[in-house]
Amino acid sequence: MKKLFLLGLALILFNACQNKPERFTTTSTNIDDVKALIADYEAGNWDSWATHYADTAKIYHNTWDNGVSPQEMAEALKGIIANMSSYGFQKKDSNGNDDIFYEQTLSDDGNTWVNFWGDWRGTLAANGQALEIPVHLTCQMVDGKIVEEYGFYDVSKYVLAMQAIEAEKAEAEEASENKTM
Amino acid sequence: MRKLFLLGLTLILFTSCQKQQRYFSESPEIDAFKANISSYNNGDWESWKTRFADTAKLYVNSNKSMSATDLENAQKQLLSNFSSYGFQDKGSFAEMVIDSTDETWVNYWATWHGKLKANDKELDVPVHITAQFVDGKIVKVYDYYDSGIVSNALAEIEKANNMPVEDKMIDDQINKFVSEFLNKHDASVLDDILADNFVRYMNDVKESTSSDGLATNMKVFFTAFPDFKITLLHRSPIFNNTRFVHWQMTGTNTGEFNGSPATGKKVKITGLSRLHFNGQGKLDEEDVFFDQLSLMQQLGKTLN
Repeated sequence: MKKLFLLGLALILFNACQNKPERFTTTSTNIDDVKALIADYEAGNWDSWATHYADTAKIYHNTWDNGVSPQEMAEALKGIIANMSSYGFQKKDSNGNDDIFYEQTLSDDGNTWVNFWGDWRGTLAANGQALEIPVHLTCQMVDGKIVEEYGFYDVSKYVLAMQAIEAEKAEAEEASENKTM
Repeated sequence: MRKLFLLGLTLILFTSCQKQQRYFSESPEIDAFKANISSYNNGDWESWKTRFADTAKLYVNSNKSMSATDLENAQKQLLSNFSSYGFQDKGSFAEMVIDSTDETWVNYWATWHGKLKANDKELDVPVHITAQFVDGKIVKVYDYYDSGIVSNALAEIEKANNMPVEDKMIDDQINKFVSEFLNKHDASVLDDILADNFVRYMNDVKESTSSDGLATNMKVFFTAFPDFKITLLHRSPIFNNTRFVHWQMTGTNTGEFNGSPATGKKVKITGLSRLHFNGQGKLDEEDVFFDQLSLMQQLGKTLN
């Protein structure tokens, strides 16, 4: 009887142990989903990129209030990429260490989040200028899909570089107009 | 024997189950991090700095690091444009993880809110900060946010400040400033003349940042020299809403001057001021240069 009791206890403890959800991990199917999202972004596979989001997903980049749909975000990202001759996240830093970090957390309120940190590198097609923008994304996952995504990065580096290119273009046009007069 | 085996198995299973906790919603590091945010919000830079290791590396929207002192200096300059600022507690979120390489990181998400002095415009900047702790001190920090939200607002102010205003408007303001305030000592005209973000430097030292501050500072001179008089000798052309004026000050020291008793001596000094007016024709910056030593020598003081 005692034996049975102990065996039972062992099984119960073992089970409880197995069912205890991990609050932190760096390997999970959700992380694989976000990795695939980044890979699709880098390859420009926008159809596949969109499949990582739930239909009702909201994406908030540098804002808490003005969420956009994945379709709207895809258009915005394509707009930026159109001005780049190359772009993507740096895989290794200058010391050869991983430069992209993923982790999954389970918050107190039971939500699953995948956090991403990476160094975005791009080259402007117009003048070859290199841009480096560190990026953080945090994605809430439900059933393997992103339902909410918050992005934090200094997009102004890109905006200012584009404004400088536009200003230069306008100046050059003005100069050539003056010549013909 | 079997009993012992089962008991052993139970214990092994139980201990193997006790995995290291890696996620925390409360911890001393989270408390330290939040205290650091409070120090920042209160402008208490001394206590802010104590929470960083001496060799701490701070990465602000960049993969090039700066020191805590570098960030302090950059922030002080930026924050001088704001009448209020800080990370908002409401909606903020902090957690701590011990990652797979056993590093301890506090992750924080919040809104930075600021109100600009120049136009009372309120700005919200979503920010993510992740900070590595070792022995209770921050050794690495990474900040992620769109710096354009603040820099665009500052550029707008700069543009508005440099909207050309008519020369006559600037001259009227300068004349009123000299005749009513400096020569008749009537501080009530200052609100009409000065911008809300007015700042005055005297020989490169920031001396006042408001009409009240200017009135208080000038009262020292008005008390020492009741016949204090400014005469404008030359005026430069106006360029970018800026005029330089070459002035002469005369006065008789019949009142106490900064704690020194009256000398009865007459003084005459000249100086140069750079006056900048904003797009509404209000004086927003005054740089005054004059030979302070000459003034003191005329009052009978020596370098010794």
